[in-house]
Amino acid sequence: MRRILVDFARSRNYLKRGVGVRPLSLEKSPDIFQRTDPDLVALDDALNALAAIDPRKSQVIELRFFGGLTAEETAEVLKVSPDTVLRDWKLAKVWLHRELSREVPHDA
Amino acid sequence: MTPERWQQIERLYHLALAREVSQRATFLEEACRGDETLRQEIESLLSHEEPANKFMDAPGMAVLAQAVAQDRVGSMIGQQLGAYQILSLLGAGGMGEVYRAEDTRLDRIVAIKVLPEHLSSTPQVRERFEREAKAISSLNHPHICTLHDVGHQNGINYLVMEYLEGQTLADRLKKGSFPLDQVLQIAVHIADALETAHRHGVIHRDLKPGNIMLTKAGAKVLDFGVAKVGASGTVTRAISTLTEAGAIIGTVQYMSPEQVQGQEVDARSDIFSFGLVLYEMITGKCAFEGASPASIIAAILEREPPELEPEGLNRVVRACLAKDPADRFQTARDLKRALEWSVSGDGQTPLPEGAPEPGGFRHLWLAWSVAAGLAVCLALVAFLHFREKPPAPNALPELVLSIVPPNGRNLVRVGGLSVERISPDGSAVVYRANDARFHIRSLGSLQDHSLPPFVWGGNPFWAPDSKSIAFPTVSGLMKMQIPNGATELITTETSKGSYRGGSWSEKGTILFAIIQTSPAHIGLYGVPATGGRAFPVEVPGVKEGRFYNPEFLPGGEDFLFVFTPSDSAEAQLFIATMRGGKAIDPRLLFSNDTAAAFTSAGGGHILWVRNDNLYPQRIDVKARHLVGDPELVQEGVASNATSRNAYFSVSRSGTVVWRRGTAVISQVMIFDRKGNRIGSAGASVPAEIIGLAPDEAHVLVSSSVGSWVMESNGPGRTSLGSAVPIVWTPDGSGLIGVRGAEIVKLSITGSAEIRMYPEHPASGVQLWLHDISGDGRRILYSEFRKQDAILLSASLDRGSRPEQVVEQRVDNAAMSPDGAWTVYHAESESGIYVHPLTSHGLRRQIANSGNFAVWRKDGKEILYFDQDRIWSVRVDGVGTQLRFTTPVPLFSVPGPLGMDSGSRPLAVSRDGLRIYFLQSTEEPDSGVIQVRIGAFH
Repeated sequence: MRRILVDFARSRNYLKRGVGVRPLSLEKSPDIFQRTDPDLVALDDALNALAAIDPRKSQVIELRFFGGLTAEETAEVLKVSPDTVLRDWKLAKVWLHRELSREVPHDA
Repeated sequence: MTPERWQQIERLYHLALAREVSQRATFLEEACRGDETLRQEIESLLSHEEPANKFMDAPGMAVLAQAVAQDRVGSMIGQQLGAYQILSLLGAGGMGEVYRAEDTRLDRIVAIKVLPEHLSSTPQVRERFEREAKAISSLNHPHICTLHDVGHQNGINYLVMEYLEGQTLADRLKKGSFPLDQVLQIAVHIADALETAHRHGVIHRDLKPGNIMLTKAGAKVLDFGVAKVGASGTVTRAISTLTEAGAIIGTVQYMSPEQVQGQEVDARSDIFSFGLVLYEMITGKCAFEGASPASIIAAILEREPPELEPEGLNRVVRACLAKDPADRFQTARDLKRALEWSVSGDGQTPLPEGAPEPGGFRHLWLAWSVAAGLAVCLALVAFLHFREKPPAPNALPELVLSIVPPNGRNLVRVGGLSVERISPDGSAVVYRANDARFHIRSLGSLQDHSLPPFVWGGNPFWAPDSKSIAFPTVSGLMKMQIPNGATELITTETSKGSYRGGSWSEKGTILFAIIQTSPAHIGLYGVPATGGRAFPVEVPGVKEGRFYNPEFLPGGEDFLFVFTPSDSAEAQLFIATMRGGKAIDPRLLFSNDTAAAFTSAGGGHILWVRNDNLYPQRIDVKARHLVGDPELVQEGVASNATSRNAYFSVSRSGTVVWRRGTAVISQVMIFDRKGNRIGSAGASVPAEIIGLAPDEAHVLVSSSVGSWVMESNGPGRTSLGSAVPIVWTPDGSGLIGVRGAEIVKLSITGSAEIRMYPEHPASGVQLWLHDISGDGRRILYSEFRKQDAILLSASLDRGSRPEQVVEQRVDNAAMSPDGAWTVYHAESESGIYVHPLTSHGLRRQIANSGNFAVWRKDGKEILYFDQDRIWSVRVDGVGTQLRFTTPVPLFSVPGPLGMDSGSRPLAVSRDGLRIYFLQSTEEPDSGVIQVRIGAFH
């Protein structure tokens, strides 16, 4: 599911901007802290980075955000408790939010 | 960043978060001990804590849908592209926009699809685009929408196609299903189109109702190969009309299993999609429906759509929808022929050939769908084997089915005995999954039904009417009605010893086997199925030994059982008759390591497993002897010689249920701290728990099926008695273990068992011993009642009362050598905790995940297992002032398969230099139950 959504978002980005333009740009939102929706392509990259240091958290994001599963369903799939999923979910979001914020040029 | 570093960050982050905002800086200053990078990292994460709250609250699909809605489309109207004048917008989406246009040279109306710009990015991509387009334009066929031209102008690529008037199949399907004659007409047109395209090497890749146009000239397939031309090989970009989130579902719904997995596709992927279109035309419903794309993908991969009528078309659909491309029609030509045959009405649809079996066997996937969970679903799939020659008109085909537990759960084994049993009438299979529940899989209605959980339920057997099951629990032998789950206690006598199987006769008597210490020659008990007093069943002429797996034959008097004499390792299979509460006329049939079962199919057979093979042999029950020769029916059936159990059962009609595998064995391996294997202890045995003797020269290996003391670096082994020993006494003179509601001390030879605790055992309670203190005076144990569990510590001094440590289910609690602390894994919280026993310290979490913690005998280190690695936590300080380091991984090692939370696979030497870890060599398949119908006829 993640692949399908991200691939689609990527092809859309191509369509709009052509090749090589970072999808996240100034026009989109000058204040990253106001954003509640991530750019899927950038998120995909950040998720890959997260998977390298904490595979389970990346899976939690994948299942909940991309797959649309509830915390309980995610817990079932990953065979951990729902509390663990919620804790992972929170910290993973913090981490991803931080990583995605880095994309904004400092002089913005 | 390394995972270890990250774990440290995570730990401190949570600790800091738990503090007042004003105190965090001071805390981090201290906790990071001058590690500036660490402090900055955590502070940076903390600064995102608040804004991340609302972040990603909307699901991914909604985010994408909103973004797409903001895209501007239709901007080309009025423009000229080459010879084409753009007139109006027909549709738009991620793959570009489709316009109605006028061909000014030929004075005709065409459809133009404008493609994404990235296609012009490099000469190579352009070249490929034109090559593919050329192949598509060569497809000249009445049921394929013709590609007239391709063009490129000002960075815009476009395709010029035949303009069709009519409606798409998708629009038409909104009104419901088609009459059968129309279904066939349209289906043959599509199959015809596919055949031509495939012959030209063009695969559609996105066949769906939205791409099929119904015109006056019949069905026309649109967008052949556009999925590939339009996107650089990624099928998922084939999404052509995304105006709302639902459109993603619309496309995913028609993908083949190989497509949703992102694998290479060939013509057979189109055949799968065709099957889905055909299904929908016949039924008016999507074959794979789901609320979210994830559930649809799961369905495509795991489920089978419901059966449909008529049978001729049903078979064609099934043969298109085989999950494995090798089992589908291999060409559209075969498919077309099958469709035409199904029209002729004789039902003898030619089916796909080239199935993997040699000798020209033909396969048809026969399948049923079930309501199932999201990610991994319960699937029941059957292969219909047709013999080389056409089957006789009334011969039942042989079926082999698989039952997979729902929601990614695994099958469990309980005490080495099989828990999957087919009902006597062959209608349902009961099995136990790792959710502490029995599940009933009905082969007739194909419902998976889960029953109420029992903490220690296991090894069920069926009532002869197939309407109840009976099984041992903490409280005793229970019966449970199917399907409503109402339970009733039959007898508490099963908790007298280790349960070894039971059977329920047509006359309403239950026989069960237990292994008990005294009197040792009694192992079989009878009890009325309606409840009441259990009575010992003596078998005349049988000496002291152990009884296993009684099994009644039809009629309710004759029964089979396995017996192992105390003075021999041989297991003997007997047949006897139960009359007036007594077993009479026992007759030895033959010697075999494992249980046998009876089926009345084929005139009466008994079945048993030897060398991983399942053999049936005719038996003359009256004359009490076997007839003819055993005949191999199934290879690779799991068994466990120590529990005298084989993982199979059989119904009266001869349906066999089994678990794939070989004989279960495991072995204790010894590693150094770097993970080099430096030895092994003893022989391979079924084992779940290991314990290192204080002399470090012997290792206890135990499970509920048997226990052994092995030499720490040699092959020696001694078999112990019936209780489950867990730990050594601190002086190494004996072992301490559990037997039902008692904690007992055993001599190393297993010859004596002395009750140590409690003074007055309670009924309905099961104890589990975790550890004993270094001075041998305190024990740590869990008490299990029906639904809950408590961790307790108690003094072995007479008259003292146990103290509650924590009220939750705790696995593998180990004591610190001074008895002041315990380290355990808590299932409900995930993670490893250190909890005070006698000191006044606070409970602390030392790891976020993991299990099987052990405390080194010198107190300086805790080791545990997590994600295929052994981890180390150093312990400093004394009393209440313990300090724990961040966990550090020592080495990677796979955990024993089928290991459950009650296992204890890890031990460590006092100096920490030798690490003992249990490794499985063989285990039964825990993912699938096999069912074979019609092996006897």
